[in-house]
Amino acid sequence: MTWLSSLPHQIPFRAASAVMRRDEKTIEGSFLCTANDFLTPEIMVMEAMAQFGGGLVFDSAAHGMLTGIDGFEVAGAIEPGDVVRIVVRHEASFGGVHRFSGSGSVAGLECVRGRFYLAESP
Amino acid sequence: MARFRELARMPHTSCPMPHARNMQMAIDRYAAAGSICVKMTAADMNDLKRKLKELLIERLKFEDMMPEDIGDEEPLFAGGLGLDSIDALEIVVMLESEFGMKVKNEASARDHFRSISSLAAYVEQKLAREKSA
Repeated sequence: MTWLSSLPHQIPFRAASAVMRRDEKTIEGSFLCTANDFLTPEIMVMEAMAQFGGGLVFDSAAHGMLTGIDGFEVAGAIEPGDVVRIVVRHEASFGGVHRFSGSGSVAGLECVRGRFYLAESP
Repeated sequence: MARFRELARMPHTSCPMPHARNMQMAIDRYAAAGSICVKMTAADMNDLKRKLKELLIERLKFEDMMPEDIGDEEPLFAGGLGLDSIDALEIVVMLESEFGMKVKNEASARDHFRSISSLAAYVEQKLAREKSA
């Protein structure tokens, strides 16, 4: 089973498209923006970041919930057809809550960045 | 003692606020004391509490709130300031970045994070323990 297929989110709710690199603290992947996305591209990128973050800290037996978003900024437009390269870094954890920072870029230009929190599902 | 006097005379340019400067000096006194156990004075403790309140306001983005608005014994979580688990994580990160402390014991953190007073006592205890180690 691949890492993506172990995510609780499956199509059409899976925003994380592919994983390129992963180490203990960082995961790098992509989100393919399409005209069929049911939310705005920026929100879909945020969701993709959360899914990548979950893949970084939770194994297939445990899942997390997106519990907070902080300082999320949109610096450039994302259009259908864009491939957004996403880098998520695990910053801290305590009491089952994990903090991450994430950024998304299209063709090398950063278009979104922000911080978010995942909590372990009971 | 000479080392302490030398440290006390140092300009603490990284701490622009007077009370933060006092706090830095109190921490320096700990460092200067080495393995000798030095109890923080009441004034140092008040400075520490004020610094913790300022850090909480800044880190948790409490708008329109002043350090004076937070009571020393006011519960930080349920029934008091109403902090939640995300705020607890931010407090842990704050203690790590501001005081170089590692908070690993999640069970005891519940007691230490009860109020500003208990948080200040925890910081004092951890700093003293680290200096004497």
